[in-house]
Amino acid sequence: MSATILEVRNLKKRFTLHETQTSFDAFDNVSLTVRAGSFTGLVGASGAGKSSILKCIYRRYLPSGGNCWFHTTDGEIVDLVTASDQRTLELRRKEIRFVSQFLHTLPRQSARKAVAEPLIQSEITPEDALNQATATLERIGLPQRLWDLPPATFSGGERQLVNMARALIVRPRLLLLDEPTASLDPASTRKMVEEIARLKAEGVALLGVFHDPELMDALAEEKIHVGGGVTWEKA
Amino acid sequence: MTVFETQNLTRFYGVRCPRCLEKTGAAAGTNICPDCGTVVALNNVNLRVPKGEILGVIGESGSGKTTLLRYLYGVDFGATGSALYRNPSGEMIELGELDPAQRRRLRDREFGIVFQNPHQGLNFRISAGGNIAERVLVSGERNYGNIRERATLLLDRTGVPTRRMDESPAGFSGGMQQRVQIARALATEPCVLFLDEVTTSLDLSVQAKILDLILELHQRTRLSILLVTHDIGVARMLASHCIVMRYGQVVETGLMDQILEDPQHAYTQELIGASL
Amino acid sequence: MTDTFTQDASFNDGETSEASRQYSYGLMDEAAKKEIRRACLRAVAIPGYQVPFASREMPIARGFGTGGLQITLSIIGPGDTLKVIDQGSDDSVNAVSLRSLIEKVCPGANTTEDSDEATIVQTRHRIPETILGEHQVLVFQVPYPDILGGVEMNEERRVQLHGETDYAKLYVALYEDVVRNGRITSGAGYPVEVNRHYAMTPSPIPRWDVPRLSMSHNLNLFGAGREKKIFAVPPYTEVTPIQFSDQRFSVESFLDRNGERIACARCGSTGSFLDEIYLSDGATTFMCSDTEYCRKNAEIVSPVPSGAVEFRSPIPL
Repeated sequence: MSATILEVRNLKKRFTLHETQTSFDAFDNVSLTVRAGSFTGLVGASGAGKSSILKCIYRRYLPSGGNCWFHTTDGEIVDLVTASDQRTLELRRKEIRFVSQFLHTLPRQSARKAVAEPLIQSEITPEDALNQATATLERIGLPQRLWDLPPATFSGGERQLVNMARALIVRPRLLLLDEPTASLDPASTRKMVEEIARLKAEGVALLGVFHDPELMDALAEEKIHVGGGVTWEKA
Repeated sequence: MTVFETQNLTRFYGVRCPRCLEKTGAAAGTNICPDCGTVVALNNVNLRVPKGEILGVIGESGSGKTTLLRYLYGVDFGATGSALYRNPSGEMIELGELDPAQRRRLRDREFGIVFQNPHQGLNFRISAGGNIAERVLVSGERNYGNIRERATLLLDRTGVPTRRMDESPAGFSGGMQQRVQIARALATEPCVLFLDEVTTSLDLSVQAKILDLILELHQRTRLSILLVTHDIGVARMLASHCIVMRYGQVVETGLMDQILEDPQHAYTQELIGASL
Repeated sequence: MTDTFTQDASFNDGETSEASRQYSYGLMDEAAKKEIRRACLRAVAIPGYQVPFASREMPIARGFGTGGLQITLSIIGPGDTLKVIDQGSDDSVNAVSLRSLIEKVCPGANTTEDSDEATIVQTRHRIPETILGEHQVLVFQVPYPDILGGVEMNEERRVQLHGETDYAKLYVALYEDVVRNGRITSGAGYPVEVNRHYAMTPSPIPRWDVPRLSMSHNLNLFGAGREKKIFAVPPYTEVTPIQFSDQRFSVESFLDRNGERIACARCGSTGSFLDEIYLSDGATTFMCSDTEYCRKNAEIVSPVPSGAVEFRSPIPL
C-alpha cells in the first residue's frame, strides 16, 4: 500500500454567526486517509459539508476540532489544524494545492503570470517561473494564443485549465479538488479527468468532490460518505 | 520568521488612569476611557509580522492601525510593552530601547514608507529625482553620478517617465505621485515597507495600477510589507496575512483568505459582510 | 574687560549730552558680556554648534551687525586693537559707524585698518586676505546662523537634524543645483561641515574664503544678533565644504575670456578675491575686495594704474 499523505481524524467545523446569534455544524467527526497516487472522493448530499472539509484541510476555514496530519516531503508530520499561519502558507505554496470551481487571479494578470505566481512566491527567479508556467500550460493544453491574455476574458473551461495549472506548477504532494469540472463542457471535463489520472500515476495524493457520480466512480479509489446534513441550533 | 513581534504594545494619549485598559477596547466599544478621557490608541497589541510577506492591517478609522504603523516605523515613541524588530542580520532589536537617532537610522536604511497623502512623503519644492536622491544620500552615497543613476533606475522601475525626473512632483498626477513615493521608499533597498492607505485617494483605475506595482515589487524583492488599509479589497488583493483591529485591539489574526471566508470575531464578520 | 567707567559724570547742570551719560565699558553691563563670553566658550568647545544667547538691544538696528558687535564688545578691552571691515572695505558706512561706536564706548582700545596690527577683526561677509595669526580673533556678523534654514522651515526639526547630523537635505539642495545648472552655483554662504560633525554656514563669505576658514591660526567667532545665536570655528579646526565626489566645491576663478587670471586693476594682485567695479563710462574692471590688502600691495608692488577709480566713500565720513 502506498504512503499515507493525509490523515484526517475527527475533524469538526462549527460556524458561529454573531449577527443572528446562531451556530451550526457544517460537519462533525470526519475521519479519512489520503494516500499517494490515489484519489479519495467525498460523496454526500448537497450541503453535507464536502466543500467545507476541503476548505478546513486547506485552512480556508478554521477547523473547530480534530486533527489533519499531513506528511510532508521532508518526512515531517504537521497538524494542519494547529499549524501556524506561516507554516500553513508554506505548505500551501509547496505541497498542498487547492482547485475550486472558481479562479481567483489578479484582474490584469496574464494567464502565464497567474500560473507562475505560486512559484514566484517560492524564491526562484521570475524568468524561471515564467518558463515553468509556459511548460505547465502546454502540458495542460491551454491554447497558446491565450497564454498572454488575462484569464478574465476566458471561457469557463479555459479558466479551469488555468486554475489547474496554478495548482500543478509547484508539483503538489496533495491536491484538493472542489468540483473543478462543475462548469465545464464534456471536452474540457475529459481533459481534466485525463490530467487527474496522470497526476495519480505520478503519485500525487488527491482528495476531492465531483458532482458527477460517473466521474467519481471512474476516478476514486475510495469514497467517503459525508452525511447527516446540517444541524442548526441557537447559540 | 518574523520581522516584527509585539507584546502588549499599548499607547495612551492623555492622562491615563488605572482602569483605562479595561474600560476601552473592542468589547467596551470605545477607545476613549470613560473615567479620564484618555485615548487608548493601542491596547495590548500582540502581533507578528511575517518576514517576506504582506500583512494587511484592516480596521476602521480610530482602530489604531496608523498608530501601530507609526510606532513600528519609528516616528512615534510613546508606547509601552515590547516591539521586537529582526534586522537583516537576524538580530532581534527592542524598538523601545533605541534612541531617536537609532530609530531614524532604521527608518532611513532599513524601512521605507508610503503615505496616503503624497504631501506627507514628498517634498514638492524639489524635483522628483531630488526626492529620491535624499533617500539615497542618507545611505552615505556622495557621488552625484551614482545618485542620479540610482534615481533614474528607481523611477523607471516604478513606472515614472524618467524624462520628468527633474520636475517637481507637484505637477504629477496622484497616481504618479504615489509612484514617486514608492520609488523613494525603495531607494535604500529596505527590508520592510510600510504602506499607509496608499491607494485610498486614487481613482479606481489608477488604484489598480498602483496595486499591480506593489505586488510586482513584492514578488521581485520579497520585502516584508505592513499594509494598513480600511479597504478589504486592497488587502484581499495584496496581503497573505491579515490582522483586524478595533478600538486599539487586535480582534482577529489569520491568513487573508481564511479571514475573508471564515471570519471568527463578530466585528470581522460585520466588516466582511459589509464589504461584499 | 574692565569695570564700569565714567565719562565726566556731571549730571547737575541738566545737560544731557552723550558724553555726560554713564556707560558700562563696551556698552553692555558686565553680566551681559559675561554671558556672551560664556556662549563663545561653549561655541569654541563644540565647533559649529549654534549656542543660543540673550541678544541685547544695541544702538544699531538688528540686521546691521548686532551679533558681531556684541561679541566684539564682550571680548574687547583696553590695549586691544580693532579693525572693522564690511565686504573687505574699511571705509564703508557700516564699518565706519561700527568702528566709531566701539571707539566711543571702549576707551583704551585702539582702531586700525591694518590686518597685521589688529587683535580683533570684526567683519561682514569677508575674511581679510592677510592671513591672521593665533593672537587674533575674527568676529563675523551673521544674518542667518542656521545653514538648514534654507531646506527645513521648522526650527524644532532643524535642531533634531543637527542633533542627528542628518544633512541629506543639504546635499539634496546641492543635487537640485547641479540638476538645474549643470554645476554647483551656490555662492556666498557655502555650506560647510565643521570638525567633521556639524554643518554650518560660514556666513555669507564668498566661496573664495571658505578654504581659508579651515585650519586657520586664528579663532573665528560668529554672532547672529537677530537670531540670537553664537557659533565658532576654533583655530586649527577642519572646515570642509559640502560637495559630491564628482561635483566638487571650487573657489571663484576670476578668469578672463582667454582663460587668464584677472589681476586687480589697482595693485595687480592675482591671488586675491576681486570685486567687479563699474567705471564712470559704464565699463567694468576688477579690483581687490580687501581694500587694505590692496593698498598695501599697491604700495609695495606698483603705482596705481591709470584709468582705475580711486576708492572713495560716496558719503563724507
